[in-house]
Amino acid sequence: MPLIEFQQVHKNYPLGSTIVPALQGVSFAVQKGDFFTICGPSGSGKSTILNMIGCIDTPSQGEVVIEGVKTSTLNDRQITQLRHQKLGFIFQSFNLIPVLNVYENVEFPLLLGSGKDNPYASWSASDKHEWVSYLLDQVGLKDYAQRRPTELSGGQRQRVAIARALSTKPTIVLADEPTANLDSKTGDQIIHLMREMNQQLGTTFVFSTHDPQVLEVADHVVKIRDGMVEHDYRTAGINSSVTDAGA
Amino acid sequence: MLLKLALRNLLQHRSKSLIVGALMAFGVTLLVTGNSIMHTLSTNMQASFTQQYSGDLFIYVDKKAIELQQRQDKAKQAKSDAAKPDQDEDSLASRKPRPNENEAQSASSPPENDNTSIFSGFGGGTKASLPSYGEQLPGLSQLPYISLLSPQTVGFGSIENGIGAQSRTMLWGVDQAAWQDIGFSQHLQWVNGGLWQPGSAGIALNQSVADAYSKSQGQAVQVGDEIQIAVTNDAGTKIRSLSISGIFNFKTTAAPQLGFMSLIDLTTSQGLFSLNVDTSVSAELSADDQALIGQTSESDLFGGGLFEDVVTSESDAASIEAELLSSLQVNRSTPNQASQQYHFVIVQLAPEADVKSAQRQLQQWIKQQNLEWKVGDWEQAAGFTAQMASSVGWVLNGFMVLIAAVSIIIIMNTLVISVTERIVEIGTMRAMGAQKSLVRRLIFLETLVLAIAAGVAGITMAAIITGILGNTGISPPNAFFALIFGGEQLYPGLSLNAVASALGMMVVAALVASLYPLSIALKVSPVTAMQS
Repeated sequence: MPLIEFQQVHKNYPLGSTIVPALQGVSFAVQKGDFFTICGPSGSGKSTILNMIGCIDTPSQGEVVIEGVKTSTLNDRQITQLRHQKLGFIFQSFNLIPVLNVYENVEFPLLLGSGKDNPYASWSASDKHEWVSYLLDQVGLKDYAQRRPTELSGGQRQRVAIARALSTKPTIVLADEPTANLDSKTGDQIIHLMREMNQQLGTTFVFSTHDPQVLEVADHVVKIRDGMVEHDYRTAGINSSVTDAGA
Repeated sequence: MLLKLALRNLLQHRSKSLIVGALMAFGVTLLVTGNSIMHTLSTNMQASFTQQYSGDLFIYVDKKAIELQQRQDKAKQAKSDAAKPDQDEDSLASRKPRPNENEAQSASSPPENDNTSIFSGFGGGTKASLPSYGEQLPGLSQLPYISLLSPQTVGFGSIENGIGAQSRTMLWGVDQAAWQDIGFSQHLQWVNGGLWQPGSAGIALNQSVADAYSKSQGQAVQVGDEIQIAVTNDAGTKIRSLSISGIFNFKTTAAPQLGFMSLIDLTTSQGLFSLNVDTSVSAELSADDQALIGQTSESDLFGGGLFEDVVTSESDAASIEAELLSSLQVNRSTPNQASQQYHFVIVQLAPEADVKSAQRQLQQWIKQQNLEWKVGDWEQAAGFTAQMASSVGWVLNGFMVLIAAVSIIIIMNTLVISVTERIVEIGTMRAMGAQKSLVRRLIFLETLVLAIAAGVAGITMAAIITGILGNTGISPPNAFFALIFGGEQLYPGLSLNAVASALGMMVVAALVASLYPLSIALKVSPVTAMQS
């Protein structure tokens, strides 16, 4: 069973009196553990696809299925729970909470909700501390735990965002153009860090990007153009060449 | 974590937090200071009345009920007269007279409003007298919540020397022993002398009355001087001669009437106020008086020994008597046996009794006894003064509501800006899995923390201001406030009720102000985080 499945998904946006079709019958499947990239030119619809996987946007037509569950059947509370427990987000602008330090930002998703709404509530304080410290160590920021986001560079902030996205041990991490605000060297480091996390933890990473560096390391790529799938292919991963092209 | 987040958000946006917090603190300072002053004023006034004038409760006649009964009786009588015109006299003779019937208003006039207070509604002669008190005293005394009962009279009169000097005064008829027992005498400041001896008659003059009288007669009035006291009411004019036992001031004068209130022994006051309907007093004429009148006896003049046994409740006889006696030297009257007519009875409650509950129970007991009595508390006794204080309180509360409304608008605007600036942050939280309830709690918590911090700052400021005012005192700006203050200075103390109500009001205002910003925050979609 695919981890993520798009079934003839359409999305239309009203623009004044006209309807703009953003997606026109998009279908693809992502397997667990994929380092999956959606690429395409600006306005092609890749962010819309990412938003739908992240359950923060809904299709006008068709189905988005995550771990066998049709997201259209879930109410707002269930969708929020699904985002909390199954999904992690890495944003283009990092979106760290400015008043929390690095450690607290990573810990924050573990503290959302209480009781049955929050499976991490049963973790002991020491378990949480150990896990957050491990993540910070993995992203190379153990010594920066008490710093505020404003005291960090762009690359460091994105590392914090990666650690935060992984803190709830999600099945899927969504990254919306994660290297767009970083220089190429830092961007490369970030991509490789995410690839390492993907391989170490088995977490599925889903990117929207047009950064060739990301495409180089992806093992599954979907190219979008004008709201439709142009290519859907798998690669051998880092430094591999395209092994399969076409939808 | 939420609290930490709320606190740090407030610190992060410190300029906005400071503006809103300062505004809230200012409101709380005004509220607490204003209400503390009002509370002190009210407490002082209550103590002033309950400890000096009204007791915990007081019993007075229900004039409305009596007037209603009289109108009904008249209507019945009229009906009866129409049916049996030839039995007029028999019918009247057989009808049991009600107390105060001779004072009855016409059947067509509406009953008076019950605006009875110790200093405004009494003194209306027999009309305001409390019927059947003597009969009910044993039953009243048995009530477990009553500790002490002290019957009183009050009314207007004048003091004069018979040769032109005169001064108006209010007269408060008190039983010397009961007055001491109830502790009221402790609140008098004696300039000279004191209360009269127990069992004897006497009058203690208010200093302002004594000063006016001294001025009128051209020489200072002295303790021991004999003066005439005249009272005119619906039942006629009564005059008694008494010795001045002392000159005093009330320590506090919450009611303006107390500025010219003199104390007189209860028995004499009953005679003056025509409340001794079942007793008699005799006027002994000196030889000179007899000579002035002439050698003719009273029987020759008026027939039937009118002055041998004067029934003072007979208004015609009383008015003739007054006209005569006012121009004669009247011998001091000897107090007769106490009658059972009073204007009101002061009730001191047992220490553990609750005033409101006791008032209800006592009124219930009165109803069961089928008496036309009512029970008032100190606020009713204070009457006009309490109303004035209450009016000032309402004006103050009006200002507070205005301040609260303005505060809510400013707080709301500032919070809207604060939420708008944090749209991406809120969207990020929602994307990470924060339920709407968490966003709601966060916004409420931030507002609450701000309100409490501002509240504490405002209370601290109010405590400092009240402390300073409590030491220096507030001088009344004019006579109106002097009356409400009950003296030359008011020394306010911080009221815990004012603190609690101000904090409560500020929290409610802050939460109300946060509703609109909250609705904006709850509408933030997680997509916002992606679009940032």
